[in-house]
Amino acid sequence: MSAALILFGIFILLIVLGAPIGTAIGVAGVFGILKYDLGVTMIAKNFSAGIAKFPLIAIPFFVLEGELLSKGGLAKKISNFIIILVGKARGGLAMAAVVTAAFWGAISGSGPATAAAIGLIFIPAMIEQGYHDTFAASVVAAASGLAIIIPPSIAFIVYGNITGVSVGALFLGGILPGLVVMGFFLIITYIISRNRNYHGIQERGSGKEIWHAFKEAIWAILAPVIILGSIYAGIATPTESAIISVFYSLFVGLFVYKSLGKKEIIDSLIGTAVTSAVVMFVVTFAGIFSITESTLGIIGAAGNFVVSVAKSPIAFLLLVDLVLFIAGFFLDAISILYVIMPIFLPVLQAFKIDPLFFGVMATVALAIGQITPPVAVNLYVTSNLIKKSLDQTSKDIWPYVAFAVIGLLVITLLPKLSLLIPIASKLYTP
Amino acid sequence: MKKLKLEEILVVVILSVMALLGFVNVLSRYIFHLSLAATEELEVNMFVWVTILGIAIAFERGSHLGMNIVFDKFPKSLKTIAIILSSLLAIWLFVMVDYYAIKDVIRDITLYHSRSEALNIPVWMYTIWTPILSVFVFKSIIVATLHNIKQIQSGGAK
Amino acid sequence: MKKVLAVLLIVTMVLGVTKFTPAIAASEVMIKMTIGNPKAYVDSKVVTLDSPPIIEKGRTLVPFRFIGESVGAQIGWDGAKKEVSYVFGDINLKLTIGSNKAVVNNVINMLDVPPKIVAGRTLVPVRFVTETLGAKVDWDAKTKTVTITASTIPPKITFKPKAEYTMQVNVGPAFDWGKGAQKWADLVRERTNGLINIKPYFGSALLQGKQTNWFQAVSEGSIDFVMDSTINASGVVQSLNLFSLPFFINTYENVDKIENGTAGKMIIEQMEKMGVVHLAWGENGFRELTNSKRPIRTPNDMKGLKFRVVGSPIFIDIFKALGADAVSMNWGDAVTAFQQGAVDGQENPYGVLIPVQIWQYHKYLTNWNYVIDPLILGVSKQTWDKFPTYIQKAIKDSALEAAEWEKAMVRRGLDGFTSINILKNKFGETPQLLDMVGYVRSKGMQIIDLTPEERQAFINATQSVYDKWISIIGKDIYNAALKDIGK
Ligand code: NA
Ligand code: NA
Repeated sequence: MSAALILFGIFILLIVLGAPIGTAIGVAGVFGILKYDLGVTMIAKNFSAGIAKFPLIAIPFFVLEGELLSKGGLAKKISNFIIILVGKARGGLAMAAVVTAAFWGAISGSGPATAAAIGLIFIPAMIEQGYHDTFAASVVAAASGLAIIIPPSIAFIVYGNITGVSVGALFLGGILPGLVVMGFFLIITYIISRNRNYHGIQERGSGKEIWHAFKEAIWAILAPVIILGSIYAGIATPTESAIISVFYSLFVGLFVYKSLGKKEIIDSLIGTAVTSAVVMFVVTFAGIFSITESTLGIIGAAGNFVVSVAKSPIAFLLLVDLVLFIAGFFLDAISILYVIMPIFLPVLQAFKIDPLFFGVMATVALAIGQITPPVAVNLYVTSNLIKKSLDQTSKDIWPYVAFAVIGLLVITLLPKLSLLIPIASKLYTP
Repeated sequence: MKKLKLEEILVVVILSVMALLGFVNVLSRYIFHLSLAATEELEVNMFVWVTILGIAIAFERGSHLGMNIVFDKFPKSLKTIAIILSSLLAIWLFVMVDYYAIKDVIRDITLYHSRSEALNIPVWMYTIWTPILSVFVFKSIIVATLHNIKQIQSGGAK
Repeated sequence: MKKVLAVLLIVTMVLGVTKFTPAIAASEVMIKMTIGNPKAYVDSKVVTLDSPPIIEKGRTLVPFRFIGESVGAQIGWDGAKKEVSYVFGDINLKLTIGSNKAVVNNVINMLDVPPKIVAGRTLVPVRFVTETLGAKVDWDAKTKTVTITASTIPPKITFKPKAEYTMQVNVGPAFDWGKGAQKWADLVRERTNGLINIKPYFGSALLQGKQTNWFQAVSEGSIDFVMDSTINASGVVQSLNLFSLPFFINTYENVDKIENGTAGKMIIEQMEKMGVVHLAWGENGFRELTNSKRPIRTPNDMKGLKFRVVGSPIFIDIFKALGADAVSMNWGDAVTAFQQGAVDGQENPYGVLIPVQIWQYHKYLTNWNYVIDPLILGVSKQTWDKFPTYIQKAIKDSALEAAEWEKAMVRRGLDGFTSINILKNKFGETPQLLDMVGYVRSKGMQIIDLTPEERQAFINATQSVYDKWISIIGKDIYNAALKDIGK
């Protein structure tokens, strides 16, 4: 039996049996090292080396920042402000959910974390306003995918770690594509709301009300300004901006809103450890799996196949989109980055494709994967909120998947969207 | 407030220290003129510790990423077998990591005497925490497995 | 009956051995020859050679037939091809008059001195031939005597190669260092007729990017081959910090003297004891200083500046001693930090400065040659010991050749015409960029060369580094190095 078959066989079998992805990918990788004698003594060293990297520390810090701001009640304040602004439109609450998720995406780097923060606020409110619960769960899940496209983003941190592309530049590259996808989500939300007759809420707030809500939300609005501003202005690396934002959230929660107590802080720290460990469990064992995959020649063979199939850069990119879209149904973003992306990365040069653009495009595809069942982390979170199964919720997700795919195609065909801001900020030279 | 488990207390302490070190790091870059390498070395190694502890807590809370669509359709007996198999393999995985980590520590003490890049301290002082903290992973996997099997037997989901 | 036979057998063996020479087992034969003397000894028997052994370029050549027959090999001579052949057990060795390529079981071994015909007699390099046939060779320089201890049992080769051998390389394939690694792998594949297939893994891919783990990984046999920096191994092999003593080595002559001298030999022995067989020295080059703030001529000019350095304690000590901040970060972060002005400078050899286009970030370059960054072309002892001699030789030949080429590439234009001539004459190459300093200058950088007085100021300023690190490196090795470079 070929090595590829054995490796992927173990991996897939364990996932199907319901094992954690980290377990499945780790067992497959370590088994491969043992069976093919690929250097057992590196197992422990590479386990630590896969985690102990300074750029990766941005992951727990961005998670902690999001936890602190969320526990400090800032998501609620942002949503109040945005509802006053766009709530009157058809499907106003749903539209506000999309915009708020995008905004929260500029604070949080994680899709499921955003789905939890935004879902807790919007889903009950939408159900109360007469929206179908599965629709409410779907719109929040889809929009929460923006969190890994709009900076900060765990996916960009991991992609930067794999490719060496500057994480700061990737962050800036995600801004316009994130807004494009948000635009498509707003369009489909509007269309569905019109068909299903979801009304907007109340009247638009008066100027005074808007100002009041804005003032209430100002500290939340400042958070992304600090994160992105410090990176854009060249003051901080992503890891540093993550640390700064942690202390900013502490400051806001402790001294401005006085909403953070000892319990909230301790819960945030433990929650952060769990959320980032869930990511790093996959990161470090997927790294080992990826080395095994590569030393067994699987990556090289697959790469050669891709080059032989795709005759032009466009064909190649569309093929990548397709592969990532399909893989996204069954795998999480991090595993895909480690298991499948190494096939494409070495052939980028042959097609003269910019690695930053490629990372942004791939991340958009990975964001779609967060809402395509059976492995759909965002949808899983919101399904739990409405106490329905993934199956039941997913009937309302497909329009969002379709419109996100349109967004993906636009981003694929217009690399400028991804490259404009990183180049303008002088953080990136193609 | 609910009483914290030991691994939770450790996580709170280590993450807080990491954040503080990170903050000192940022300040030192812009305000003081200190060597940053030392704090970076501590931070990345603490991140390894936090990750191992976090993996443990996540096992107990059932927070790890996975796919349940097929599992949910299994009969009780198959569910039990799948859970036991998956747990045994997870334990095996960390036994492998720990076995080679312990070997690394021993070889580092007896043969290599390798020293860290920034603080120039023996590397095994970092490595040794992998097998020690993994004890929490084993504990959590076992606790979670027993809990899940009990739930299945009583008719609940995973 | 059996017992009696056994006793008899042992007695005859003991007697047989003691009768000739006590050091030799019954299955061994000892051959002795002296340069210029036609009288040779096979065990205690005297044989008169039809042509005496000669020395050429430090290698001893002897009549091909005598040496083969003494060992017990089957000898062949193909007059048309001018080819000498030996068949002994599983070893099939072919040499051609005038050619420096020998073929052992389809594997090419390079000869320093080819076989030649002297007065109608064919002479072959004795060490190579006998070692290939499984013998041990000793040379007594005083008496100019070669002593060969050969087994008369035909050698068996049971070696089975792995499908792929891994090689650790820290940089990417576009650097001269990376190209050198690829060249080494290509040469080995070519000379072993595809039998030994080495694949370089660039960017420390096998180590999850943690390049400082390479020594242990190779020592433990998790990685087979390596072409990597001494700096990345200096946390384990502390003596390698010798190359990072500030302003100590400073010239290419000194580099070569230390690598090939006593200090180099001591370091190589240390590494081998720890499981890594050293095959050749490559080079990343002298590490030069660049920054965006000001020209640096004195330690004072460095005060308060922040430099990205490689992750190694001695580097941090050096910069601290010079009053600067040292930050160790990976290159991707470093570039961002340069662009953001968070870090002011860095140190790297020309072979790195040019591909990373350092002028995009920095305007000033000081040629201070403060430390040399040699590369080790090595192999795990566990892997190495499994190879038959002729494959070991093919791999080592290839390592030496790839290292010579790579060294010449990184030194080109920086050591006068020496390296340019090596590239031209030995490798038939004229690389595009021969004046690396001029090229960097043409990109707008200001180049600062230090006067001897200025250099002395740096040496004085870093005295504390010597005080601390000589004992870590090992005083004996430091003293040997001083002797090697005649200080
Ligand atoms: Na985000
Ligand atoms: Na999915």
